[in-house]
This record gives sequence, C-alpha cells and structure tokens, in this order.
Amino acid sequence: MENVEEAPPLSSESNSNSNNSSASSSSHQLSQSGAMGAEIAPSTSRSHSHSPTPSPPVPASSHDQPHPDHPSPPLNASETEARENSPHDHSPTPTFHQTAPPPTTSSTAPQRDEREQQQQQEAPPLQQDQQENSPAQDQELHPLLDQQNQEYPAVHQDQQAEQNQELHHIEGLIRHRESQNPEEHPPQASLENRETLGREDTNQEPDEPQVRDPEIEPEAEPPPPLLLEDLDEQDSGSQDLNEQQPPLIIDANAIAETIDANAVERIDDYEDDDEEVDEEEEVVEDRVDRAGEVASVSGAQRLHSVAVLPRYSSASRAPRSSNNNNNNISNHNNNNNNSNSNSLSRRTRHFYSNNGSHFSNDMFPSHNPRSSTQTSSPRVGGRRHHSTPAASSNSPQHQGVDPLRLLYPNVNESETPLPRCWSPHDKCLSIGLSQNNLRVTYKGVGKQHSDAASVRTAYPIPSSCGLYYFEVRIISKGRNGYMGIGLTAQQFRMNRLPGWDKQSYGYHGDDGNSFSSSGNGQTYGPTFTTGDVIGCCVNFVNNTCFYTKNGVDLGIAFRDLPTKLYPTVGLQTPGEEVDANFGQEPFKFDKIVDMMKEMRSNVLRKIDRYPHLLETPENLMNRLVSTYLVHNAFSKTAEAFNGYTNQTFNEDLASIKTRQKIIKLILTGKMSQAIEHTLRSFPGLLENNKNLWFALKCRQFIEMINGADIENVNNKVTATTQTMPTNQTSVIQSTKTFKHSKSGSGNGNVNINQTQQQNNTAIPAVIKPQGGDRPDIKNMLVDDNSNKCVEHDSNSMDVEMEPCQSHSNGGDSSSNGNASAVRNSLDAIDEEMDVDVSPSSRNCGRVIEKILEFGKELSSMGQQLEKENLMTEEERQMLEDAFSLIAYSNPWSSPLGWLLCPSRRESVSTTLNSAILESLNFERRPPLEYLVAHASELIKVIGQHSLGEDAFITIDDVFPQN
Amino acid sequence: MAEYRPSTSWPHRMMSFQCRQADLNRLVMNYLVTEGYQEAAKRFMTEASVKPGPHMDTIGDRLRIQDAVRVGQVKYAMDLATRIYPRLFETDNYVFFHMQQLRLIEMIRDQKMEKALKFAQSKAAGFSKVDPSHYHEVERTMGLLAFDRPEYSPYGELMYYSYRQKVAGEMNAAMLRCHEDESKSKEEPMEPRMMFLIKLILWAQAKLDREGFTDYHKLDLGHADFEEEFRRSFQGF
Repeated sequence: MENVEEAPPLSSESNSNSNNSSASSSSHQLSQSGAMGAEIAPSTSRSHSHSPTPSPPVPASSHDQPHPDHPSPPLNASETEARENSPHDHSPTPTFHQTAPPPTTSSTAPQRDEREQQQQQEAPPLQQDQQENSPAQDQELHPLLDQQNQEYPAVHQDQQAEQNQELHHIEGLIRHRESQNPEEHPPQASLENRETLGREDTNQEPDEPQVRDPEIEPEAEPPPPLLLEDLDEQDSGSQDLNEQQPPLIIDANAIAETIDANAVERIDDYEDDDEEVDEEEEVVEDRVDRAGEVASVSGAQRLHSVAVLPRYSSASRAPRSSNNNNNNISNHNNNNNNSNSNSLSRRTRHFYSNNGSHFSNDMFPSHNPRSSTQTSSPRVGGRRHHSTPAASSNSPQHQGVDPLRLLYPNVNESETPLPRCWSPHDKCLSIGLSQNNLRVTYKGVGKQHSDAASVRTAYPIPSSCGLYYFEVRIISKGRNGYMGIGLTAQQFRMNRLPGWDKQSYGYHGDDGNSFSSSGNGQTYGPTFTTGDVIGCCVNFVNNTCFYTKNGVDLGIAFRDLPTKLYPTVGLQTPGEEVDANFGQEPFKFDKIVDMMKEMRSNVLRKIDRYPHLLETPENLMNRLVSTYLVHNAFSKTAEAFNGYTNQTFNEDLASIKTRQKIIKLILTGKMSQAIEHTLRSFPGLLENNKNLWFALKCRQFIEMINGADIENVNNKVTATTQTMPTNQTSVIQSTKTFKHSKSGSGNGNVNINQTQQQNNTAIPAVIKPQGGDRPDIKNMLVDDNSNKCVEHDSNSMDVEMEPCQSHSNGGDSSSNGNASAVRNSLDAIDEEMDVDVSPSSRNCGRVIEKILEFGKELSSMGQQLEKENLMTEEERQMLEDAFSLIAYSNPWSSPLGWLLCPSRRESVSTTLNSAILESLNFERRPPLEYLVAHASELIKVIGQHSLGEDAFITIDDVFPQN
Repeated sequence: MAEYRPSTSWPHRMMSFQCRQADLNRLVMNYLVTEGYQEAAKRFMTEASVKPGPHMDTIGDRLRIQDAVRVGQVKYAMDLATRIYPRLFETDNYVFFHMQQLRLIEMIRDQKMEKALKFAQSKAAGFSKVDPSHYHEVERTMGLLAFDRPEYSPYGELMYYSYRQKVAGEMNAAMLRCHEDESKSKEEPMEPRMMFLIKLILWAQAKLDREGFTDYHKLDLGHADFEEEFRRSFQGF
C-alpha cells in the first residue's frame, strides 16, 4: 500500500520538476569529478546541500520519512545476490563498500538522486505492472537494485572517457538532424532505420516474445521529454545540458539489456533445436516491422549508430566524416556496456562478437552480415570456435614460397593473375563465403531451379598455365546434393548451375552427368556427395577438360573449350557446403606435375624434330658463329673457325685485336688505359659521344677506389702486414693522422710517438723495404706515360722478393681498403723517422689527391653534360653512386659494394664495343643475339594469343646446361 | 575481344631484350664441340673462359673423319671410323649407305667410270641390299654415269661440296650417337643447340601463321644472304 501511495507523487514530481532533477543530476556529476583529487565526504556534503534547495518543503519531508528504513534492506539483499550469482559481482561490491564508511546521511544523498532518475524513467511500466501480479514487481525490483550498485562504480571509473565521447555523440546527433532536413535524406534515413532494426533484432534473436511487449511501449512514450531536452540543448548550448544525455541513454540500454540477458539465460537452458530458432527469427522479423513504424527519437539515435557500421565498412562506398563520429559513438556504448554487470557483460560479448563477425566480412556486400548471422550459432562459444578455422587457414599464405607460382612458372601474374579464391563480387546472393573466401555455403531456400546459386573466381584461368587444375571438397551435400563444379565464361548468370547456360561447363553431383552449355546432361561419371573430392583439369594445348573424383581420372568431359574460363561451383539446396583448393594445398590427384612434365617434353621433342626445310643449315649456323666470334673480338677463335669453314672476315683482323685488347683492359679494371687505347685507335669516337666517355670515366673513378688501392698498396703490403698487422684505421681517420703529422700539432706528435714506441723492434724490417722503394717511387712521380703500369708491376715484384729473403712467412696480399689506411699510417711514421720526408709525403698525398682531383674533373664533366641537356637520369644516378663510395671506410662491404664487382665491367665493355663497331659501320649486336631475342618474343606472342604451348617452353631451353 | 596489339615495334622489342653473354658463349661452344671444330673450341676455351662440355674428348677423332669426308677421301674416312667405332656401320645403315654413295660419286668425279661401275655392281658396295626407301637415291647416283659432264646434269647437286658437308654432318652425328651408346648416358639430341634455336623460330612462326596471327615479324631463315636479311629486319635502329 505504501508503494501505491508513493507512485502518484513521484510521477507528478517528475512531470513538473524535470528541470530540477536534471540540475541535481548535473551537480551530482560535478561533485564526483571534484572528488578526483579531494575527499569523498566534503564533496558529498556539498551535493547534499544542493539537493534540498530546489525541491518543495512538503515533498522533501515525505521523502525523508521512508528513506531511513528503505536503504538498509536493499544493501543486504544486493550483497547476498552478488555472492550467489558469480564471483564477477565482487568486483563492483568492494568499491561500494569503500563509500559505505562515510556517515549515513552523506551516503543516502547520492542514492536519492539515482533513485529519482530511475523512478522517473520507469513510471509508465510501473503503472502497467500494477495490473499484473505482485511477483512480477518483485522480479523487476531486484534487477533495479543490482543496477543501482553497479552503476555507481561505472560512472566513477569512466567519467573522463564519457565526457570526451559525449561530445562526439552530440556532434553525431546534430549531423543526424541536419541530414534529416533535406528532402533527399528522408528516404535514406528510412532505409537505414529498416536495416538497423533488422540487425538490432538479429542481435537479440534469443529473446522471448513476451518480454518484448513492455520494452517496445517505453520507447513510444519517452519521445516528448527527449525532444524537449534536445530543444533545450540547442537553445542553451551549455555543457551541463550536454552531459545529461549519456546517462539517460545508458540507463535505457542497461535496462533493456538486463531484460534481454535474463531472456537469454532462460532460452539457453531450454532450446537446442534449429527449428525453434527459425521460428524465433520469424517472430523477430515481425517485431522489426512493428518497431519500424514507431518513430522514436531515442530509437533512431541508437539505430543510427548501429547502422553506420555497414555503411562505413563497405568498400563500395566512400567513408563520410559523420560515419567516423557515429562509429566512435558506437564504441562509446560498447565501453559503457562492458563495465556493467555480469549478465550485461555476457550480453555485451554477444553484441561485440557480432561486431567482430561483421568486420571480418568487410569484403562482403552489405546484405551479407544478416545472412551470416542467421546461420551462426546463437551461443557466444560457438562463434568463437567458428573463428578458429579461419585463423588456421591463414598459415599457408604466410609460407615463404608461393605453391601456385611453382605450379605455373610461365604465368606472368602482372598480366594474367591466377585464380586463388572465390570472388565475393562474382556470386549469387544466396551464396556465403568464409575462410579466406575458399569455403562456399548455400543460404537460399532451394525450392526451384531458379534458386540455384553459383560463385566463381575473380580471374579467368591463364592459358599460359598450359594445364590447369583445381579441386573442390564436398563438406556437406545438404538436403539434396544438387551441386555443380566446372567452368564458366564472363557473362554467366550466377543464379544457375555451371553447365546449364551457354559457355558454361559443369559436372553435377546428384546424377554424375556432364552439362555442356545445355540443361540436358550427358552421362559422364559417378555421383559425388559428402566427403568426396572433385577435381577439374583444363588442357589449353588441346582445349579439353577432364574431372577427377577422389584422385581418380574420370576421362575427358568436354572438348573444344573456349578460352577465358573461370573456375565455378554451384549449389542449390540448403546445407550444401564445399571447400576449394586452387593449389595452396597438395592435390588429391597427384599426377598433375607429372602430366605437366610430360607435356613439356612433348613440346620440346616436337620442336626438336620439326623439319627445318633449310638447304644448308650448316652454313647459317657457321655464319652465326663467325659473326658472333668477330663481334666479341675472340680473334684467335675466329681465325681458326673461319679457316675451317672457308669464311671471310668483314672487319680488319688488326681492328678485331685492338677491340679485344680494349675489352680485356676493361674487364680487368684498367679503365685509364682502355680509354687511352680507345682515344688513340678510334679517334673521334669518344669526342663525338660524350655520354659514353662520361660513363667510362665514372667507371674509372670506381676503379680508382678499387684498383688504385691495389696498385699503391703493392709497394708496402708485405712490410705493413708484418710490422703492424693489427693497426686498422678508417680512411678518414688515416687522413686526419696524415694532416696532423703535416701540421706538426702536439696531439699528432703524441700519437705518432706512441706508435713509434710500439714498433721499435721492427725498425730494421721497415727500413729495408723503403730502401728498395725509393728509386721506383721517384720514377713513378716522373713518368706519366703508358709504361707506368709495367714499372708498377716490376716494382711490385721487387718488393715481394725482398721479404721472402729476410722472412720465412712469405709475401701476403690484401685487397682490403684498410690496407690503404695502414699504408698511410706507415707513411706518417716514416715522416717522423726520416729526415728526407718529401718522397713519402708526396706519394701518400698523391693517391688521395689524384682521386679527389679526378672526382672534380668528373663532376665538371657532368655539369657540362647538364648544360648541354645530354645527362640522363641513369648517368646522374651513376655519378652519385660513384661519389658515395668515398664515404665508406670499407667500400667493398658497403651498400654500394656491388659497384666494385667485376661483373659490372662486362656491361661497360659491351657498351664500348658496340659503339666502336657502330662507328665502323658494323652491327651493334651479333645476328645470333637477334635470333635469341626473336625466339623469345615469338614465345611471348604465342602466350598472348592463348595458344597454350608457351607454358612449356622458355628461351632458356635453347641454351645448353652448365 | 580485341586482338593483342604490341605497344612497341618489333625491332625495338629485339633491342630491349637482354642476353647474358655467358649463355651465348655456351651456345657457341656447344656448336664448336658438337660439329668437331677442335682448334676453335680450344681457343674459345681460353679467350672466353668457357667450359667445353661433353664430347670434347672425341672431338679430335671426329674432326679427322669429317675432314676426310669433306675433301673426298671417303674410303680413308670409313676405315678410320671403323677402327675407332667398330660397330658404327652395323647399327646405322643409313650413314653406311650414304658413305658408299659418296665413294661412288668421287669415282665419277675422277672420271673413273669403269671402276665406278664395278664398285656399284660389287657385293661389297651393298647397293643390292639397300633399303627400298633408298632406291631413288641409288637411281639418281647411277644416272650420273650416263652424262659426259655429270656436274651439269639434273642430278648434279650430288657432286657439289655441300653434299659432302651434309654427309660429313651425318657421320659426325652417328659417331656421337655411337659414343652415347658406349657411355650409356641418357639420350640427348645429336644436333647442336643452335639448331634447336633455329627450329624453335621456324616452329613458332609456322604456328602463328597457321592460326592466322600477323602481329609479329616473320624472319626468313632460308634467305640466301643471312646478314642482309638481318639488316633488313632490324633496320629500325
């Protein structure tokens, strides 16, 4: 009776004092935010002082009377229930206890505010519940009490996050209203609402219909107050008013989901049959229609936030800025839900799992999420298990080697990509794809032929495969096992089985017949059903197709196939499900590789036995060999061969030998001599081709860093290795040491003295080689002609002989760049030890100065080419790379070390050789090379016309094996 | 569906193709060794740093026999071959027949008609036991006897140097096959790989021509002047 008496005053207060309660709510939140850095008691007293001020004296006194008795029983009841339900409930309870110790008066203050809010929202359902039994009231009271306790810590914990997300939420609301104003937007809005309603109800599919009745009616009645509040927000624009929105929405969601959670628990206990689930889905759809008629603002807001996901995630649509904000709002709701009670968290997981499932289907069209959700298990555990196979199927793709590339090596996938999975864009609506688009599931009704559904790959089979094969495993034949596996052309309609229509071919499982562009099948093979593996093989050489069943060849099914066919699979009755293997996994039919090898040897044999019909093929080949030998300046070989075959030379033999000498110089890195010989033997060639000259000089610069060190180090390598084997310094440091010794600074002297002390015992060995080197060094300084190389070689030999006489270790050689640094360091020491330092000093500086001087010359030449617009991007890059070598103490192991490889010299010699021949009016390339290029291009053209043989032959088949 | 249209001209595509010189060197070395050019092969090993590959060991003997055939010393060549490969003519009747035919032709060239007639009718020549498919060749060869100047007769091409070259090639291939049989290695084509390259071009061009495609350049490998044909084909540069 007391409850009945209290009801009217509460409802009247809520109607007349809505603003007051909102104000008290905002003050409550402000006080809580203040509590972040202050004591709880003072803030509580503040809120207490605010709350009685706006209320009338009579209602306040009436509230005070029942409160002292009412709070204590609910606390005890909530504690008992928390312990009984699950250990998760303990997490919010400790927080509540922490707030309990304050005085009784202070603790009752927040409870009053919260209770007033809830009573305000639930006024309509309470009135209705009076007509029902009293046990119903008791059931509803308990969840409410639980919610009271749980909301308190939730609000406290997520306070900051809420403030940020509230702003996003409000922005979304504003944009939502703006979008509704234009005439164009209303139709879209209605569509979104329908989609949203469908999805929301799908999430709640386990709910009982009885529970739905009270839920729908509350949504209808609250609209007026929300509208008023929205108007207030627009007028005032204050943050306090904005902060009022989230708690209301959160509470509504919490209440609804509490009821839903209870329903879920009940349904889980009793339902196991799929048929019942189907019936519930039908009921849900009816609810969707009814809910769609209701135009509630709060419902629109919630539905809109959910509707954003598919629009935002669909690849076909461009994302909008408003979608991002709405997406954030959705996350906001999820966060709040996660922090609620255990039953709510269970419900939240269900919702989150759907979201996850939805995102995983981003590649699907927008209507897929509904169908996939309908077939998924109603339990969360089932969904988690479902996601595991998808994860495992990812592992093959992460393997280092692509198995399809090994299977079809002659396919150029940049031009004709291989089929690798089913295409979500090329399938019937009744088809569902999963597991990286390799698994196909039928989702239609399957009552008529028009209910057939097919899916194909994104790309047709490239004819350069020569022989193409894929397999399909029947996971389940479903109701009738009406399945077709085959090939279809570009214009195939996806609501047919492969083979029924023109330019489509299929082998069907229910009757074992083959269908070739016709609805009338031909007897072909056995039927296939659950567990069978059906393979389809296309031969592009003879345009035929055969099938396999569980690894057994069934024979040719189709002949005279057209090109550009897509692997296709068709299903027709519920429950049908198949898996595809396009080569990612080993095939059941293990003879494909052997068949390919046989076809390859057949093609090679056919070419080998092809009649050439040439009268004198020997003459042609002799001419090809002769011109090749002459072109590449193999002069002695050419002399012998032409003598045998009575062939003549077009080019002067002396000229051939000169070219041979130049090529040999380049291949051994002696660029300066090669350039000199070219300038002398072929005057005007380089002057008229400055780009070629520039390229040769770039290579010379690289060889100076590479070869110059070898030449200069030969003088000292043996001595330095024996006397200072562990002294390793970088070129830069060595240069600094050299400069220090020149300048005579104190630091330099100290370093040199230390080094000198370490090597006192080695002085005799050091002096001896120097004595032998001095005359040679002087000669090197004086001579600048071509004989320099000869003297250098003899000089090196002299140095190597002396250590052998005095030391049993023998001579050591080193091509390491550090040897140059060691030599410089040794020269620095010599400077200190000897009175006459000019020869060593000049020799040391000369090497570095030569490189730097040549670099300047090279740079100026490059600038000249730039002025004349002759510099190409390739040459600019070449110059930059060459100069970059200076920056490394060990250029051979630097990122640009490949520049120093001997193989780089071959392209330089080829370019120069071609230029020389062209200047002599000969062909730039030998005829044999043209023939090879010609053959390679012919093979490519055969492939481009889909003739198939190009799969089994490459230009490398022409060359003998090593 | 539109026909394939190459983006660049055929000569340009030829020029942009990059050959590895090591591959071409192996192709040339294979030819020198297979055809028995021993001295050239040895020099090429030095100048190009190429490995000789198989059949280098027998190159000297094969070269001498081929040289003998090329200069018309057919009996000497047959005796030499019999000593080196005792079972050669037992397993390859076709080559034996052509060598005997060449002996007869050399007698006719030397105007020793009576000797030629005796040789042709003798049992040792083996013409009486010739495979029926070779009767036409025997008749053409015997027809040379009926003319005062046989090199200008309708069957005169049998007396050209090119026919000696052809028989020398057949002999070389037979010797290589005989060597293969002895070593019992897997069978590989007795022709040089360069011939495979030529046949590949002819086969591919014929295939495209038969299918009616014209978006490629057809190279006439039967042209009398090969280098002129090449210059004409690639004069785009």
